[in-house]
Amino acid sequence: MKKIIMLIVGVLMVGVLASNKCGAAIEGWRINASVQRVGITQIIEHPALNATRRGLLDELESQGFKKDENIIIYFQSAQGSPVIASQIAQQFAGMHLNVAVGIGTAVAQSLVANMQGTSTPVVFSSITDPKGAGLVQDYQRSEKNVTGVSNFIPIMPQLEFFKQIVPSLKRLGIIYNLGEANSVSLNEQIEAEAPKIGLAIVLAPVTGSIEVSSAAQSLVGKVDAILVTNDNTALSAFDSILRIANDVKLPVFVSDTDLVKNGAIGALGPNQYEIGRQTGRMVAKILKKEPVSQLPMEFPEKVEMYINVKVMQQLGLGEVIHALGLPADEDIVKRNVTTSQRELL
Amino acid sequence: MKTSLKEMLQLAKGSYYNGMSFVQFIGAVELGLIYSLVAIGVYLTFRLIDFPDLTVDGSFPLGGAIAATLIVDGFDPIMATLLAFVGGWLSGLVTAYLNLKWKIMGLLAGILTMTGLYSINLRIMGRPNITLMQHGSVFGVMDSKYVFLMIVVALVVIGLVFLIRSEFGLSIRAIGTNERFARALGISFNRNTYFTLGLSNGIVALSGALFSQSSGFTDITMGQGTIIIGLASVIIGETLFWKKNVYWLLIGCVMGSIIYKLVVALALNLNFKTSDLKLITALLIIIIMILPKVRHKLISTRGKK
Amino acid sequence: MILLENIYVMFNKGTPLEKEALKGIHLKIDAGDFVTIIGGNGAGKTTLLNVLSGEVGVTRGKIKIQEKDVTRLSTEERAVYIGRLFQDPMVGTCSELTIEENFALAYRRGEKRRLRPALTKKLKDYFKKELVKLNMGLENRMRDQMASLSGGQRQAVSLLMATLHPSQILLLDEHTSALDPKMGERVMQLTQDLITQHGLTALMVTHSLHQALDFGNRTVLMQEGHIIRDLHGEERASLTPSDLIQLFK
Repeated sequence: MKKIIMLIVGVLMVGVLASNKCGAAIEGWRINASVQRVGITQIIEHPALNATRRGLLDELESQGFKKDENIIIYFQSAQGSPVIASQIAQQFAGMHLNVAVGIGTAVAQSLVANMQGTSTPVVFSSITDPKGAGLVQDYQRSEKNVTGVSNFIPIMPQLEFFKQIVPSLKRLGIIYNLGEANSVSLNEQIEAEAPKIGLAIVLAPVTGSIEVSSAAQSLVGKVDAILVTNDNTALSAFDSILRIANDVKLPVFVSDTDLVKNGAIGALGPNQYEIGRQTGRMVAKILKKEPVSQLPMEFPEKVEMYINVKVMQQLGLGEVIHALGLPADEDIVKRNVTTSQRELL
Repeated sequence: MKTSLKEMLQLAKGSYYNGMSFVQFIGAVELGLIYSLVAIGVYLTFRLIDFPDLTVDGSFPLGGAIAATLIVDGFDPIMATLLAFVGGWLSGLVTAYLNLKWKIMGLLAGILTMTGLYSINLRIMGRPNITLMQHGSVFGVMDSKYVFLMIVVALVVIGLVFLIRSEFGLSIRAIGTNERFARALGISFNRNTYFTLGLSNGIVALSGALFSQSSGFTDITMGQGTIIIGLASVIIGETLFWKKNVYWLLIGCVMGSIIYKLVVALALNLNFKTSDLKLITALLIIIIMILPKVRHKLISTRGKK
Repeated sequence: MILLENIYVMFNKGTPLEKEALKGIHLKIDAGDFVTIIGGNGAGKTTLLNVLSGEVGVTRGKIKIQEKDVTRLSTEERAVYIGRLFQDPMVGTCSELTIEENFALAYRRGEKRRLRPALTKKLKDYFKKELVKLNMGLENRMRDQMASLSGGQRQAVSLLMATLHPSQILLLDEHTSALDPKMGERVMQLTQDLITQHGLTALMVTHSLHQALDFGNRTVLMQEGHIIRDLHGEERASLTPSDLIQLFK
């Protein structure tokens, strides 16, 4: 019996290796200059990250890359597991891709680790601290065939924006998951900058989405506003945060501009979709044979300012609306800002 | 000729199967070797002493946390990896302590330690993610990561074979099969439990340290699902080697782990959504457990406590 | 050899299930004695054995083995003195280990377990020779799992195992009651042979009045946690099983 099993196992192993040969033959056909191959992997499937991916795909299409005609897209989600991220990166490494894109810290790190021996460039997207994650050494230069788009924007303009919308803002609460690298590094920076304009930060850490409600509750009475950054966990329970905040008339600021229409009072940040498009532009350049070494990593080009005037009314900030000259009859006001611009008007 | 090749291209574009590349194959085998240590650790507790130890979801990342933190601080990677082993051993002792001294059920004791380790790991790392890209790793010792891993796994297996063959090892197996009798023979149930839980989690932490250095980073979430991967590997191994001989089963853990990782890689190629992987793993375990031969052996006899 | 001084054992103290299993037991056993213990259910016979082996703690009293006070020692610590057989053949052996491995385990009873191999060629041969004594053909099945043996075979093997290691005391807890009569007789005969051969001090709990009188040199009657009679010598020799029953009234 054992012999039979050994035989089966042996055949499986040989089969797997043999299929490699057949696969390679088919692959060989595909490695055809006119059909380019892009691998995309995300750490987890989530609205914000999905929006980034959509932006990326839309941008590629608008640049003339038609799916299944001159470009093939492979997508894998790592389901939040660094182990699966490793295996996906290994899969990509053997596929002779033209570009590999990693949306999220762990997948980007896995890609970089596994692509070293190949000629495939790695493009990361939506990473708050690429240097801290070991993806780049230098913001100005692209090395080792790695580049990408960060989603980090300067903190001070955001804090000042918050203060403009809620003049009485002295204490700002942040709900985030201790286990998300992006959030932790962002919070460190926020805590460093806040005192400069007289703001105190109250951190409300959680380890999972079920704890988010209680974290929000814990902030009531201790803060003048809540900030929800791009922390996946806090975002996944955003509605519960809003509900609790609305009960006590606490304003909620966000980084993801899409959430302003859901009831957040305002956001100054990059649009995840736009980050996707910016990433797409970078990928397109690489596909059009621009050398990666000439493409240093980028920060968000487009930053938007969203204000939910209706929510401001509800929170009794009518005077502020008037003082800032915001149109009182529109629910949501949107402005595009460059990263250096600070004033609303 | 050209037509048929074109047709093949059409077919290929339509089909979703990509041949497993050599890189992917080797990568899966490497991961299989690293995780075989987890399988061995799980085997030591679940099978050898009949203790359902869930600490591994915490001791695996503990190994990664200790190794990464030390390496980034400038420690020699080999030293860091050995210290990770020690850390894992200690966490196993905690679980044993909770179970033996405070009579907390084995399953729960493991969960408690595992839960506590999440916070401890974060404390050790200081942040949820540490990158090791710019630092040396234990693999620098030789050219091939593959060969190095095989040597490490072989050493662990050989060490365990010696241990199990010894009187001490036999006494450990005794407490897993018949506690009362073991005590009557003068075997220290407590001491053996402490030792085995320590050894098991030490080996798992070692695996975590190797995984981090292999992937280039440590992430606080890397422990999730470790026990499932370990169990699946052990069960696959037991199906292959239902011969029942302890020594063969150790090798079975290694083979099972490698096969499991190959199955995952294959599933990726077949364009399974990764979210399906968990279901596939569960189905795999269920199917194997239904097979009569294996079922007979796997039904727990530890009711008599 | 063994001295039980004023032993009291209380189970579940303070709860509705409170029961005083042993009430002031005083028992002195000399080296070489083969004592049979008989009594009704709940008399405390098994508790007595468990007190000696260390599995049950005493509320009051002292236990001495060879002049040494072992009252506070655990089962594991006393194992070096005591070999034991249980009523259930499953309890006295490790089902999942092989016969060889079981022997190897028993061989080191009470000793510190070292890192040397548990089964050397020399040991295997020794165990094989011992098994031949049983006349059951088991010496050819050394590498079979213990679970593949019948209850009687397991008890016989347990008996051998219990006497492998030089020990002084053998505790037998109704060890033939779960076996069929023929096998039971065989095991009993083996028991007698081994006790004589090794010069052991033995205590045997039994339900069988015949066994109580036919074997050993002394019989102790227990009832409700007390020892009501301690028979030996001439007095014992002249008794029949029906006489024994009378003594319980």
